[in-house]
Amino acid sequence: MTETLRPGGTGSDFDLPEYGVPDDEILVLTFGRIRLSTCVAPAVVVGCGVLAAGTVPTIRSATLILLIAVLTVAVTVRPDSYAGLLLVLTTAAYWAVTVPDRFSAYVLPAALSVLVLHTSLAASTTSPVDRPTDAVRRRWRRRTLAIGAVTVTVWLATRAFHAAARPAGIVLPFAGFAFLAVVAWFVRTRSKPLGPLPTPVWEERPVVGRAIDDLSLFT
Amino acid sequence: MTVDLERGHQHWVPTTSHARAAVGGIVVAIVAAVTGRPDLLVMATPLLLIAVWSAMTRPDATPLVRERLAHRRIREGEATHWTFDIYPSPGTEEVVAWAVAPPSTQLWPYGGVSAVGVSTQAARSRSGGTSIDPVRLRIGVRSVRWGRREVGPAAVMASSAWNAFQWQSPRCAPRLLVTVPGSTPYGSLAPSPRPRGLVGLHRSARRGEGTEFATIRPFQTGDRLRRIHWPVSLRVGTLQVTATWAEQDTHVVLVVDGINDIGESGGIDGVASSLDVSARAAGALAEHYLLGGDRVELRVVDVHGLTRLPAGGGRQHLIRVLDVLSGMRPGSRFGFDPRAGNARLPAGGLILVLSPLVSTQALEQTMSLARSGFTTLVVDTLPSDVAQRDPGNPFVEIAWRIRLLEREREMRRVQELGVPIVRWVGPGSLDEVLRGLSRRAAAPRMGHR
Repeated sequence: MTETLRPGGTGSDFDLPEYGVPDDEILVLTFGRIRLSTCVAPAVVVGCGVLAAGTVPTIRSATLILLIAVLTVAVTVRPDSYAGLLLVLTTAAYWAVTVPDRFSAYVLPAALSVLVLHTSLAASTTSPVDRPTDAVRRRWRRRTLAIGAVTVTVWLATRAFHAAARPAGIVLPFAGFAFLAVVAWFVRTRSKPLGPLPTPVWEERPVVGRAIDDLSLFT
Repeated sequence: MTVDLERGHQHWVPTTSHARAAVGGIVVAIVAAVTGRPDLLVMATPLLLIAVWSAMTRPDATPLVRERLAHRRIREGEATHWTFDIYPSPGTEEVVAWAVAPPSTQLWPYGGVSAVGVSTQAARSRSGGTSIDPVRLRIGVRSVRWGRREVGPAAVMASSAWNAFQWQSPRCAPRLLVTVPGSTPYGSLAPSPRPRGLVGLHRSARRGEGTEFATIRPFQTGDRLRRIHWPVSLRVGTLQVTATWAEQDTHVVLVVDGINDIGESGGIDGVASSLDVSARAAGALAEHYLLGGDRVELRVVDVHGLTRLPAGGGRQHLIRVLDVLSGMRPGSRFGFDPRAGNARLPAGGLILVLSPLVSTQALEQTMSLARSGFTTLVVDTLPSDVAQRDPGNPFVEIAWRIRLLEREREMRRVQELGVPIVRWVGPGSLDEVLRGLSRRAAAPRMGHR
């Protein structure tokens, strides 16, 4: 059931539509999607690791999987904590320990899962409640896809170096950093110099006592 | 995320998201370089890209925020809005405003949070020296019960790309929102028992200038010529004039018993407590009499003692009355005698006591008024279903039944003094009783000598 509220005063163009219930539904849906992404992404990394290794996880890998599970719960509860950083590092350590193949194809979904994990955590902490608008959702989705595309490009580059039998172990990291430097330069040059802005000031208003005002309210 | 309303940071500070991207990406990339594992570099790539992107687009200036509560006084059930005009600095991508709701207040959107994304192009246009329209966030504030409450505090938070840097405004002080009792429709056609003023709408007991016909009488010196009734004058042979009843206003005194607030209050949308009924009834009576040209005086007995608003008339006085009513708080002041103010009551005024009639002080005051000869009428504001509001505890109902029996006995004592008691049911509640009081006022009376 919804109701339209009547704003106080006259001449106001402000109308409050659909009080209450629809917001709750939006909140639950958005909350669920973001939390679901946070939970699924580490599981995908673990699954890719198991598939890439092709063997039963060792005790060391199992320990890291347990740690990943604990940290996943922690970041789901508190996405703004540093548990997210620990989760990313633990995930990378798990991959390094579990997967011996340096050019495994499973690293691509794993890297994209790390991207999804980071994005969902960042998006869920932009607001006191998970209530992004449609425009914000589109922006985040578009940027995530762009970063994912670059990640795929880097993965393809590693595959190309591997196919060419080049000593990629030394070359690739430096090539990657050089690529990042170019991206940074590109982003920097697009930003124009910023002019100074006034310091933030609240518009102070006197506290209303028993003064009589707003006569129009009752006309 | 955790919201810290007490202290805002004036500068853009890195978030845990930025730490995760930067530290995580760099550490994994270094391990990849040291161990020569390109797969780890692939895993670090998205984090490194996001970290670099975030660092390059970090905002340098702080946003400018202006806020305003649209209305300071509203009625029950009405809504106003808290507007935040935010001038984002370049690099600002999302701004969020939120406020804390006091009791009996609803905020919209959910939780009082209003979020919006900022166009990157709009934020950049300020760097060229041109002004831009602010990003306007609105938080709806709906008050569901009368009273004086502070809405807030509130704050604004801005974030940069990838939520890497955040800026939080200083806490905005709470804003006082006065919610006056709701406008209960009330109308009455009953005459005032003892109009004593100069001009008004009530028919006086005396004859004088007015519009309502009284009789036709012989012409006297001083009568206006336009009052001569020519047909009758020609028939009887002497001048006859039309006499009319004078029209006067009356002095209404509203005495509101705010000592007890009985029953749970569900606000304008739910059940009403006794103080809710009293406040809304007093507001409706004041509106009815003031808009009819009468003078209304208000006396509130509550935790503050006796609050007296002198008699006045007109629309502005109605606002004063509603304002005082909105400040009522249940409770009694130790050692306060409500009969102390009876001496200043006007002779001939109509005194309306709005009370649930459960406190000794209210009963004593009513009986004192009746003994002093004032025309007094008691409006019973106790909710009729107060005894059935706690079905889970049968002892409460039994206790209330006993208390209501005692109350009936006390009400009979008041009625024996000639004070009528009528339950408030909205429009026309007082008509029958007021007509009876008018008849009694017009009847011959035996005086003490």
